[in-house]
Formats: sequence, structure tokens, C-alpha cells
Amino acid sequence: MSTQIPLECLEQIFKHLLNYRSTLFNCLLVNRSWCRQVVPLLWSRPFSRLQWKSSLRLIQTYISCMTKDQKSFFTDLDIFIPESSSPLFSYAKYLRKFNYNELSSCVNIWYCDYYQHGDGNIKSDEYIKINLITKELGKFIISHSNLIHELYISKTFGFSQIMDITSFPGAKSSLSHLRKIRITGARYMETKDINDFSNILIGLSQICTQVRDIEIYKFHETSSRIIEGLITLIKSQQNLSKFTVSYWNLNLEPLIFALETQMGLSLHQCDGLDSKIFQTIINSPVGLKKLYLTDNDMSTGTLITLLRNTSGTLNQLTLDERVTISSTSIFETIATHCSSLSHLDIKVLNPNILNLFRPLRQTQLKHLVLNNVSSKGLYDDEVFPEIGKFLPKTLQNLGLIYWDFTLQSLQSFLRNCDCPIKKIFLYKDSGLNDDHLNIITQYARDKGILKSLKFLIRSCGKISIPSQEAIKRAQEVIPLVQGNNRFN
Amino acid sequence: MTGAPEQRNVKLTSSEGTEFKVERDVAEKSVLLKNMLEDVGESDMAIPLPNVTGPILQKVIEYCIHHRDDPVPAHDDDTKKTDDIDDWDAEFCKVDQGTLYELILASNYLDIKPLLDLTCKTVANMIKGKSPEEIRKTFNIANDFTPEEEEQVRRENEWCEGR
Repeated sequence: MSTQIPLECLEQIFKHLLNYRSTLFNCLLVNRSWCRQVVPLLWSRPFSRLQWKSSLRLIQTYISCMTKDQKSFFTDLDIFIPESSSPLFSYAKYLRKFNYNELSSCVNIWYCDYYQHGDGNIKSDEYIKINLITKELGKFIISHSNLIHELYISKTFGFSQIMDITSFPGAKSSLSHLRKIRITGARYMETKDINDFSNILIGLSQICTQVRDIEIYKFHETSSRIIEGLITLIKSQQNLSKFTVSYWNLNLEPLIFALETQMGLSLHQCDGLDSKIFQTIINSPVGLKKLYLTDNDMSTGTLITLLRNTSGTLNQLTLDERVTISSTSIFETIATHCSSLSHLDIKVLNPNILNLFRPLRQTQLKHLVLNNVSSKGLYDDEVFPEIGKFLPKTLQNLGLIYWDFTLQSLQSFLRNCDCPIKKIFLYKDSGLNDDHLNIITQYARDKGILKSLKFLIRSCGKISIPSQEAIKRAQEVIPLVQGNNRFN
Repeated sequence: MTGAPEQRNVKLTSSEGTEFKVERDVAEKSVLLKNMLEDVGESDMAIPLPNVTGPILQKVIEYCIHHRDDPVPAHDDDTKKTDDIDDWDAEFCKVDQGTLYELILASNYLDIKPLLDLTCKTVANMIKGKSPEEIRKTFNIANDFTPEEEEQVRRENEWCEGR
């Protein structure tokens, strides 16, 4: 039996090391075959989370890949690029995620290093040079890559130039496989910026048709021209399944009309979600599959109407506490109308928890996350166990976040649960201790179906709460027991 | 299995001709076999698996039986984790390197994504934190770079060194 890793497995193995760049770097140096397999992965998303030195080295390698002609613009900028040997790979062709702003930041660092601006202080006229170098490098990358799946364009800084990269040579080929587009505006933008954004969106609509995920952030009244570009882009897509709008106070109505059916809609901090606008969703053929609503100004009444009219398709729902704080009718509507809904993730702040949760029992939910955002927590030995009685009989995954309970109430809660729970994730402010874990382990032993338990673990030096012994006892009964140091 | 509805067994033949009988839901953890069974319908004919040896098929079946009730995995995620292997799976992967590679090839061929992920993660964990020389030693690999080439690879990619 061979003890050499089969070459055809290597790519699969390296994919598990994507978050470990230094390990992948060591893999590069193992031998030629490993090198050939690792280079495409390393260079697929090179710009993310780079430190100063790494940024400038990355730009150095990209520049070394340019031909003499392509580098000639540096001479016009009085920048001397030393001759170098031909690179071993055409690195630009492997790019999959292109964030124009990150490219600009790396160029900025490279420029500071070239001119020995150690403090990063750049004169305003030098930004013109940086924008020009970024543009030329962007052109070079676009003309050499044909695998770009994700595109991020943002107006992060005042000097950031919104470049219409769809007009770059080769854009038609390199951007035709896009799956995700994220466009981020800013509070203050010039008319030119808005027009450039809109032109990019219209340009993209002519190049790519298979985008699944569009995210739009931070556009305000003054940027209404963006809507025209967005609608054109949305309408040109054949498989759009997720549309996210965040920090937005423009009219959503025309966008909602442009959306196709069977998709996910995510709205965060959007103004003007009054019932008139959502009436258009209801009356249009949009059959939402997933709905994420957080920090918006939508009234409970509007949401109820929306839920009733998307009941045939809606499968996943995420809501914040605003819609349940003073009304129990959201859960009643879900129980009565949303028979397709299997995932519910909700923040609750209602003082009358039991009244609020009572209708849950009638739902068909499989996955439920109850996030308690009350500052007091819930520390009531009588109330907490009662929640167990209201859990749907179909429930398999239960998340309880920031609930407070005594040992006795946890025990009673679990005794009251008669649903086939396979996964529990439990994040408690004061953490779980050995006794809590022992109670859950006993529950798992009695029921025999709990497969996964996740919780917050507190550690101080070598001591952890719950203790490693309690965790080991739980692992004897529950296949996956995972204590995390942070909430995720 | 008591209480479960009776289901037909599926016969599988390894590369040496050894026959294995498994319940249909176990066989269907393999997308390749699931599609075959859907295409062929009810049949007593054994499905030949010429790319999988008996001992490896035995291990694959052991994995599929243990995980028969697991939900279908979610869509592929480009940023995979390597630190979420549970105890049973870790124990399952305590085999010699040759067997581990054969399991990777078999899970790839049979299209059993959770097993492919598990075995690849196990090898990825063996690579993590090692220098190039240590990796070569662990996996019995010869360095075929010229010194100049190795230096050039290092120079062109040093942006990701030490992160």
C-alpha cells in the first residue's frame, strides 16, 4: 500500500488549510507537485487580513508579473521598478475574491514603503498616484483572471475612487462567473461616485447572469440613482437567492418588485418599511424563502400581514425584539399560517414570556433559537421550566442564548421537553458549571437522542468551568460536546 | 434495528470480489450509490465497486452505519474548520497513513462528503504547524526543487509567510 498522499487528494486536503496561510506557505516549499496545488488556493483570496509587510510583498509579486509595457506607467509617475526574473506562476489568474478597496489599501502601503513614508502620512496629491497604480494593477488582474466569484466595491475613504472595473479590458471574461457582489456606499458621496456605482451595476448586468447573492450597504436619499443600476442588475440574474440591504433609507419598493420568487431577503437598519411598501411585497409574486429583519422600523401589524402572505414558501425567519416586545401575535401568526417555516431565530424582550411562547407548541419548527435580550435575564424557577412545555413537537435543534436558570429549573425545563432534540446550544451569561452539565448529560442518557451540545466555557489558567471531567462524562453519552471560549 | 421499518439490503462488491450487504439507508450515505439505486430501482444485483478494496469498504460501511441518522450536510463552505472532529470520528481515523489515503480516495469516489471532509481534515491536522522539511519527512516526500527554484517560490510568496 502506497504511503504517498495521492495527488488527487491534495487539493481537498489543502482546502482545510485555507485559514492557515503560514502552513500553506510551508506546503508550497515541499516539492513541485505540492507547490502547483497550493498556489491556486493561496492566490485565490490574497488580500484579506494582510499586515503591512505582507501587503507590500504581495504588490511586489503582482508587479513582477507585469510585462515591461504594462509597467511603463510607473516611469511616468517617477517610480523606478527594478528588473526581476519572470515569476514562476501567473499569480493573478487564480484570484477568486476581488475586493478593489483591499487592493487599494495594499497599494497604499506599497507606495508608503517605496517613498519611505514610515508614518503612513501621504499628501493629498499623492492619492492621485495611488489611485492610478491601483487602477493599473486592477486592470492587470482583471485581464489575467477568469475565475473571479466574489466582487466587493466600496467607498471606504474620501479619496477612494469608484472605478468602473466592468470597462477594464478582459472584464467580460473575468467577471462572467460572479456569484456574489457587495456594494458599499458612504454617508457622503459625490454625484460622480453615485453615477460610477450605478454604471458598475449596469455594466455587471451585461456581463454576469449567475449571481446568487447581492449585498448593498449604506446608501441614502442622495444616492437614489443607484436604484436604477440595482434593478437592472437584479433583473438580469437567473439564480439570485439572497438579497441583503443594510443601512438604507431609499425607497425599497422598486427593488422588491424586481426580485424573483423563492429567495432570501435580508433587511437591516432600513428606514421606511411602512405597511404601504410591504403591501407591494405581499401583492407582488415574491415568494420569500428566507427573511431576516433586524433593526428596522417595521410595525408588528405589517410583519403579520407579510408573514400571512408568504406562508406558503417561508422557511427561515430571523427577527429582533421590536416586533414581539408588546405583542404576542407574531407567534400566533407563525403557528396559524406559516406551516413551511422550519427555522426561527428570534430575540425576545417581552415581560410576559409564557403568553408569548404559548403558540410555539402549534408550529412545525425544527430549529429554534431564543435569544433573551432583557437586561434582567430571566431568573424565575417557575417560568423557565414552563417554556419547555411550549416547544414544538417537531423541534430538533434548540438554542437558548442569555437565559438564566437555576439547576432545579434547568432540570424541570428538560423534563418538560417532549420534542426529539438532537442539538442544544446554550450560552448563559454566568456560564455552565459541572452540575448544569451533569443534568444535561443525564437528560441525554434518558432520551438517547441528543447528538450535539455546545456551550460557553470559562477558563482561568488550567482550570475550566465546567471541568474537563464533567465534559468527559458528557462525551460518553453525547457524540459532540463542545465548549467554546467565545460566543459564535 | 428494532422498531424501524424493514428495508431491503443492498449488495456491494469490492475490487477483490468480496460481497457486502448493507441496509439501503446506509448505502445511500454515498451520493454515487444513492443515484445508482434511484436509477436502477429494486434489484438483487450486487453493485461492483472496482476502485474500493474489501478492507476499505468495510471501514467506509462502519462510518456510514455510525452516521446513518446524521442530517444531510449543508452546502460547501470554502472556509473549512479543522478543529471540530468528535471523539468517535477521531478514533475512526486512527489508522496507518496508507489506509487514510485509501479512505480519502474511496470517499471521493463514492461521494460521501462528510467522510471525505473528516479524512482530509485528519491529514490537514497532520500538516499544521510543520516546517517543509518536517512535512516531507512525515509524508515520505522527496524535494525536487532546485535551490534557485525553492528560493524563487519563497520570494514570490513570502507575503503569506509567518501568518
